[in-house]
Formats: sequence, structure tokens, C-alpha cells
Amino acid sequence: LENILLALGELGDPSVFFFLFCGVTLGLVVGSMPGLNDAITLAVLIPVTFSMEPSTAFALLVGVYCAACYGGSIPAIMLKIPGTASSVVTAIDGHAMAKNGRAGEALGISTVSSVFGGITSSLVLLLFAPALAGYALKVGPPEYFALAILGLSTVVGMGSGPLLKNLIACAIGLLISTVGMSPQTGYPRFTFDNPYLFEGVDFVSMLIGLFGVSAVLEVAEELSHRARKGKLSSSLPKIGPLLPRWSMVKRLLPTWLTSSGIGNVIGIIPGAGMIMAVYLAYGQASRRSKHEKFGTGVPEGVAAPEAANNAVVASSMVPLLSLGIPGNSTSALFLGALLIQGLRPGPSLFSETPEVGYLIVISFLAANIIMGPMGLLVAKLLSRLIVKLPRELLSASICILCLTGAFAVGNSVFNMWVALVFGALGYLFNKLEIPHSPVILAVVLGTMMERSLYQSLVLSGGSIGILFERPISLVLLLGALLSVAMPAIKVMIHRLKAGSQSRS
Amino acid sequence: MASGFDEMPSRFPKLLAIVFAAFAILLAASAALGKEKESPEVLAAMRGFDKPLILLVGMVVYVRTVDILGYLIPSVLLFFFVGWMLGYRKHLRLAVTGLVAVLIVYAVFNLALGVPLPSPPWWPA
Repeated sequence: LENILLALGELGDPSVFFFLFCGVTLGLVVGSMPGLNDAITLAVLIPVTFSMEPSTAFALLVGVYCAACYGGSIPAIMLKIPGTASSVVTAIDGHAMAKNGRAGEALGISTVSSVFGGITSSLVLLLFAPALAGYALKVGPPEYFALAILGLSTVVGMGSGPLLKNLIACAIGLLISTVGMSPQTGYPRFTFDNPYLFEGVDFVSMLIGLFGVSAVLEVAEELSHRARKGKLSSSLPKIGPLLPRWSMVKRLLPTWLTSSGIGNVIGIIPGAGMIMAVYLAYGQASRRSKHEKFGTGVPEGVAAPEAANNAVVASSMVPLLSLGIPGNSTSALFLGALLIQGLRPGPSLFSETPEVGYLIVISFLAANIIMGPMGLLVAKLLSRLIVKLPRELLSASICILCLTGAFAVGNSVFNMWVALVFGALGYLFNKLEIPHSPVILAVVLGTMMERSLYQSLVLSGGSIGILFERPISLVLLLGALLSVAMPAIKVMIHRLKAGSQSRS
Repeated sequence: MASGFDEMPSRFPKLLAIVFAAFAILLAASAALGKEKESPEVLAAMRGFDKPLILLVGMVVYVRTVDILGYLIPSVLLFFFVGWMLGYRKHLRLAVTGLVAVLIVYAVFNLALGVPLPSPPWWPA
């Protein structure tokens, strides 16, 4: 508790609070620009935080992560163009509400739902991360190995792509993780005698490439398509009053609770991802409401996905802050930010540098609270402006920022090459429908997995049995098996059901 | 395992190679069996490929020239190139925005963050 108070005191520092505020504002703006999302923004910002104090750096990044997720709902409601992938579902009922002249109400509901989901998720982070970290400090290499396997299995079993593509993405990530000195023996692998590769492929430059550079390439393709199709006609609906009525709040409360619950559970599972939470929450809400038709502008249709996606935000940081395993691709960026600051992500974060660990947690709570009024303000004043910004200039700026940032990370031109290569790869992955997040997670987990495997083997004197004899590691491995088998089991159940139905 | 030193680091990559081979066969098999209609989609995706490719080449040239000309000049040129490639045709505005944006980035990194961006070799240090 004293650590929480300490972090609160630190947050009271005007400069820290200022950066948190900046982060929220920036997040709202970039979130509401179609084509820009939290991951791109964080990738661009991380090199900027390089020489900042850890406290101000993380206040800024946390603010962006929280607010970008909500900001995506603004163009989703106004134009039916989701600003971020997480607001795809919001666009359905949100835009329908806007067309019925209830744009303001939809924006208001989206704001309040996001804040609600975000706060529950921050509380989950506050409760679980330090506790889990304390526990994680006591386990050894076999458990870490099992955990890495579990992380890889969930990302394969629950990832957005088809199973085989997830597996391929995973293997590519593992391959990238082998570049550099091998663990234990320190033998250089795939380095081609290039000293820049001895430490492995630079993680932050890689993320900058995968998210930032590939996004610029993506825009190039999209804009040339649009030029062929003709300009997008954008007539914005009137906004009207924003704040939802009290009766509406009471009506939406059960939706908020279930959606936040779904979001938090999904968020904690490494690799499960935001999109899944959003669809689950929307499906759940539409199944429960009997008299209203979803898709025609039902308030629950806005409240459910927005509460769910913001509930994923902070809870996706639980595995990162407690175990050093990123929960999704955006929290992998936080891993990069921690590394750049010279902090050790994982269980020791809370014990060695509690001020940073708790500050991150508390920032999430504060950012969500700031997001309420700020979100309403931005929705009211800027939403018309933002969607009209020229995307060409924006993309050119992103391009410059990405390459400059990659240079700044290691003070070397070589990292610019890394960013370019991964930009091209990321673009190619998009075309081939290979999801990004298994790649990133596998890069992180691959190193951890290999190292902990060899450490375990040293512990056991070469016997692989050590992985199955220790109870925690056995349970984790069984969990891994289950999450990979899940899709197959689902198909079987489905077939059984279909079979029994056709017979009856 | 006479010298375990040479064998151990290669174990994991070798395992990965087997995994990749297996996936390649699986992917080829599922394509051949016609479960996934790949080819028309890939062809359609290839059509929009030209612009991103040109952009990428531009960025490669940029990184090459940063070594020779320093940071500022190539960056302004890259900004102009990207904006133009994306179809922005108000040339003056593009050039001015590019100059201002690059100068801001330069100032932020060099002065505020203390990360020296490359200057041309002939520049007095």
C-alpha cells in the first residue's frame, strides 16, 4: 500500500501529470484518425522517451495506450470508419445511432463505457500484477519454460488468423529470436559477423518497422485504390448533447459489467487480443437483449464493445508487468519501452523498482479518469477537424519519425535498416494474412524459452523430466496443450451438435 | 557431442528448420487440395504492390544517403517524396510542411532529447 501512495505522490508531480495529460490528448487524437492506432504511435514515441525520466516516459505512453483505444470510436460513430481495429464493432450500432440523430448520445455512451471498462481494468492490474509478480519470483526455470510454451500456445490457439498461419507466424518469430548470441554458450548465430546483430535483432527497431513503416506502405496502397474509386464523401452528422441520461446509465450498467469482465479475462491471457474481446462482448450483449434489434442503433451495441476494448488495455499489462510476457502486441511495445529505460521487465520490476512498477499501474487508473472529460471535449470540438486532416502529410511525418526513431534507439544507421526490413516484412505479412502478434510474442518468448530450457536441463542434470515433475510447470504445460487443442475440440463439438440436430 | 559447445546452439535452429519444412508441406497441401483459394487473392493483392515498393526503394535510398549527406537534407527530400507518392499535389505546401516537420524532429531529438542525429561528414563538429 505504501508503494501505491508513493506512486500517487509521484503522479502528483506536475511534470509527470503533464505528460500523462499529453499522452491522453495525443491518444485521443491519433485514435480518432483512421489509419493511425496506438501501436504505431507508441512505436514512434518510444525512441522519444529514451532520454526521459522513467516516470514521465511511462505516464506519456500509458496515456496514449488508454486514450487511443477510446478515440477509435469517434470516427466509428461519426463516419462508420473505425479509427482503430478495436472499434470495428462500435461502428455498427454507433453509426446507426448517429444516423438517427443521436450522434452525441452515442459518443457520450462510448466515452462513459470506455472509462468504466478502463477503470475496472486498471483495478484488475493493481490487484493482480504485484501479487502475481511476488509469486513469480519464487518459481524457477522449468516454470518459465512452461509459461513460454503456454504463451505461444494461446497466441496460436486464440490468434486472429487461421491456425496454420498463426503457427507459421510463431515459427518466424522464433527464428528471429535465435539471431544473436546463443544462451548459455554465447555462440553467435545468424549474425553474419555483423557486430550489430550480436545482441539479437533490436526489438524496438523491429516494432517500429512492423507497425510504423508497414503502416505507411499500407496507406500508399490504400490511397492509390481510393484515387481510382474517387473521393470519399464525408458528410458529418450533427453531434447534439453528449452526456447520457441517468436512466440510460442504469440501463447500461449490466452490459458494462459483463463486457468489462470479458475484456479483463481476455486481456490477462497472453496472446488473446482485443478484437476477440470486442466480438465476444458484442455477441454476449446482443444475445441477452431480447426486444431490440442490434445494428439499428442500440445503445448496448456501443456500450458493450467500448467497455470491453478498454477493459483489455490495462489488464493486458498484467502478464507483462508480473512475468515479463506481453499480453498483446501493444503491450509488447511497453516491453520495448522498459528495456530502453534499462529496466528489467518481469517479476523483479515490482521488487527492484517499485516506484516505476506502481507508477505504471496508477497511471492507467489516472489516465482513464482524465479520459472521461477530455474525451467528451475532443469528441465535441475536434471530431470534425480530425477526420479531415490530410493523410498524405501525416504518413510522410510518420515515415520520418519512424526512421529517425529507429536511429535514435541505438544511435546507429543499422537500426534504420532493421526498421526498413521489418516494415517490408510487416507489409508482406499483412498481404499474406499472417498475423503480427504471434511473431512479436514468439520473438520475446523464444529467447526466454531457450534460455530457461537449458537452465532447467542444467538443474536436472540433462533430464527432460524436470519439466513434468514440478506441479506448476506441469499445469502450465497442460494448459498449453488445452489451448492448442481448443479449436479442434470446438470443431468436434460443433459437428456432434450438427449431427444430433440432423438426426432429430 | 564431443564438443557440446558447437552442437548445443544449433539445436534450436535445427528444430525450427524441421518445423518450417512441416508447415511448408501443410500449406502447400492445403493449397493443392483447394481448401484455400489462394492464387486469385494473391494476384489481386499484387496489383497494388507498385506504390509501396517504390516507397520502400525510396526509403532504402534515404538510409544510404544519410551516411553521406547527414540527416537534414535527405529527410526533407524523403518527406517530399513520400507525400508526393501518396498523391499530395500541393507542392509548395508539401515542401514547407516537410521542412518544418523535419526541423521540429531534428530539434526534438538533438536538443531536447540529446540524441545527436547524423550530420554530414564535411560539417565541422
